Amino acid sequence: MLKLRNVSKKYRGAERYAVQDLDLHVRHGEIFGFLGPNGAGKTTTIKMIVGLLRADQGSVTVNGFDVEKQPIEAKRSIGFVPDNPDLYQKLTGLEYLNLIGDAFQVEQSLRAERIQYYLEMFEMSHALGDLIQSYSHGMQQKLALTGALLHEPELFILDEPMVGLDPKSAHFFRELMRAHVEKGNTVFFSTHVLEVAEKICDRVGIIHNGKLIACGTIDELRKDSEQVNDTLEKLFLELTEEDDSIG
Amino acid sequence: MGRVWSLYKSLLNVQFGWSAAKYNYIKKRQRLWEPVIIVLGLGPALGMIVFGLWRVAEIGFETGLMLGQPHIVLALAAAAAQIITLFFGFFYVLSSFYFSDDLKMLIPLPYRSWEVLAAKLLAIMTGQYLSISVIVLPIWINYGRLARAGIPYWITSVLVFLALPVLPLVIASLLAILLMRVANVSNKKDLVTMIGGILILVVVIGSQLYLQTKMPDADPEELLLQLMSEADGLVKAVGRVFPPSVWAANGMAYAHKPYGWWNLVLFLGITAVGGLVLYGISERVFYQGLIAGMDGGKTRSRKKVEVSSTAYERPVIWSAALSEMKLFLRNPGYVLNGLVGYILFPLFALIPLLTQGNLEVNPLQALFEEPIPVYLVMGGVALFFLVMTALSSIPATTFSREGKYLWIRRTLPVSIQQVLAGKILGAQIINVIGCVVALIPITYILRLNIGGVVGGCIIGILLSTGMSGLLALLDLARPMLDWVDPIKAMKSNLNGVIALLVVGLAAFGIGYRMFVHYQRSTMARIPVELLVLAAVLFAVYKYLGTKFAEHRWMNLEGGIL
Ligand SMILES: Nc1ncnc2c1ncn2[C@@H]1O[C@H](COP(=O)(O)OP(=O)(O)O)[C@@H](O)[C@H]1O
Ligand SMILES: [Mg+2]
Repeated sequence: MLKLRNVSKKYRGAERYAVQDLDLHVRHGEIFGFLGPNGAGKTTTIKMIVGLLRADQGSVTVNGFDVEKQPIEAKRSIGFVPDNPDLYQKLTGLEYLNLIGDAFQVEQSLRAERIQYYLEMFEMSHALGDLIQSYSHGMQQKLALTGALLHEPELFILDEPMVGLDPKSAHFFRELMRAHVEKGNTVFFSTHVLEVAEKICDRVGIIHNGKLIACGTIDELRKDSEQVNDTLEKLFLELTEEDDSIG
Repeated sequence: MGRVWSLYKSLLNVQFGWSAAKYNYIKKRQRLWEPVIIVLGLGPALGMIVFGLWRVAEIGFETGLMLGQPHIVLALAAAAAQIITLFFGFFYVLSSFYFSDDLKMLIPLPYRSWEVLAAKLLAIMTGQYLSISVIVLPIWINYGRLARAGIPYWITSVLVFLALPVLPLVIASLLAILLMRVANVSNKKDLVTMIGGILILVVVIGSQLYLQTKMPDADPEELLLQLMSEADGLVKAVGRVFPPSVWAANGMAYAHKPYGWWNLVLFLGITAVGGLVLYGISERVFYQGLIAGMDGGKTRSRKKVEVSSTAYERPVIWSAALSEMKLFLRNPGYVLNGLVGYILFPLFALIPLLTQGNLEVNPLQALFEEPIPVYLVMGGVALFFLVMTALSSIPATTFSREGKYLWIRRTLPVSIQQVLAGKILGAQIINVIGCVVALIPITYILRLNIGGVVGGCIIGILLSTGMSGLLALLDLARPMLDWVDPIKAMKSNLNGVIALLVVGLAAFGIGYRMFVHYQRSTMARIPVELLVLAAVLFAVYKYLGTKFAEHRWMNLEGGIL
């Protein structure tokens, strides 16, 4: 579903690579956790997948489409929620969703049905006609989520989705991801919290200083880290320490 | 005072983008050609203005000398500077206190309200001093040279210069407070701000024009004689625009006499009174600004919307155009800055109504035989469309205004050509409606040939569409995305200035061609040449729109901050 081959990125003016020689294969139908401490290169990688950043080297393919050569086709398969979604403050929630729906050419009855479904679930149907500037932070996040799911993307990408969520919403989020893969789609999300990944991921990849240092199921990785891999063990420790951001 | 100073410095920094410029051009050493081009473009323009005003001072001085009132040029400069400050000060105060979000950020910091207010007003005044010095200095310095003025003149002129923008800024602040008071209590705040702001501008400009041109019901020649013979009569006539400027001019011209001192005292006195009034209302400016910043709550409509009735599929380009228009028109800061031109031009055409009380005399009949040749009408109308595309700043700031929201469009499966087409369509719908609405009174008042106007509209739409495409590409090439206050994307954006320069030059060239054809009686070629120009603009847009835009769209890195 998602393939990264030898992907490298160095920001202009930076001294070291933000992402270096990254190889990653996310399979169809799985929930893949992209795990790593702050500054590891998760956001940079995700931006290269969704078309916000261009890789210096290597290639990214989504659903068989190269994101540089066939960006439109690749983007059609993606639904993306950034770590801190900024939404046009002067549109209403419904206008925003229609803008997304028009771009993805979501047909009328499906669109209405999905908007109603998600917004009732998020308990914000009443705010649909209000400007986004009147929404709380949480409501804006939920709106961004609805926008990303509106075309039922084959590849659902989220950057640090659990940051700042209360336990109830976090649980709810996990259900949402599960339901999405059960419909035959794929989920790729980043987190710096091991516990989050442990609970929901089929597989995880661990990125550190821009390099992928491990990839597999959590159990496999835990075994590795206990037996041979010193850095991996340290990294696990570091990642488990930072679990204060989930409720 | 030290705290006010440091706050002032950081506000100035943001206002002029010094840190950003230093970071880009000096530290990262990228896009070094930009400052070069800007200096090369703005330098000569500035030089021409200064030189022109230097000459104006000379001519005005000599003419005035013959009438015994050489200091009429001083009054002219002072009046112009104060009117400009009043006009732009209104925008700056609104932008700085009401459309800007930084008050909210300054609150948690240990500043007192008067300190924030003082720093912000100082920052606004600094900008005003810079702009009025371009007008005032060449004239005053040349006057001082020609009149062989002594030390008292130069000292007085420094005092007058420092005091010059205070009073108009106070008036501008009062108008802004009045507007925000009304807007804050209504539940359609943005709408009230926009309409009220435009109304205030219309009234201010209208009354200026009225005062400026309304003469008593006397024979014009007789009146002129009277003004010339009366001591300082002409100076007083000029000063009617902004009466204190007469005191300023007299204070400077008679700086060596008690009469001059008296005038200077009057001028500085009224300025001081203005300053005190502003100090007295400062808390109010501040808190109204805060309330204005706390949007949200009140704008809630609470009306139930029917999802299924709006969830139909729109063509991608139309959808992009709709969002472009909504995002522009719902921001009062954008509307007040961008759309004011559509209102000013018809207002100018109304001058005869104000001065004569009727519209029987066509003000253009002195220039042309009546009716105005149809091809000139066509060219002029087309030119109007072209100029307004740049003046509105809509295409030239279209990507900048997206700012941190640009990630939305960049992750949608929509090609950059479609994004551009949507943005141009949205901008042009506003431009065309604005121009047509403005042209209706103009056509009536100037008795323009209807066929010429319609033809001009068609050519103008073609011409301005090509131009707005190029301006949108300019903004794609160097977007300003890292703003916090939306208004910055428009007011502190050099792309808007570059657009005005480019279109100004083009308008100058077109105007010259029209003049040549008028003299040679080959006016039928005007529409042909304009159509060729439109085709050239389209071709250039098409070429850059494919070659450069795709590459740029993929390599923009500022999508998410
Ligand atoms: N716009 C940028 N310019 C320069 N360096 C950046 C930029 N964005 C991120 N970086 C650097 O790249 C590295 C990876 O950052 P990021 O991908 O945001 O990490 P993560 O999302 O894993 O926390 C960090 O060292 C960060 O400082
Ligand atoms: Mg990140």
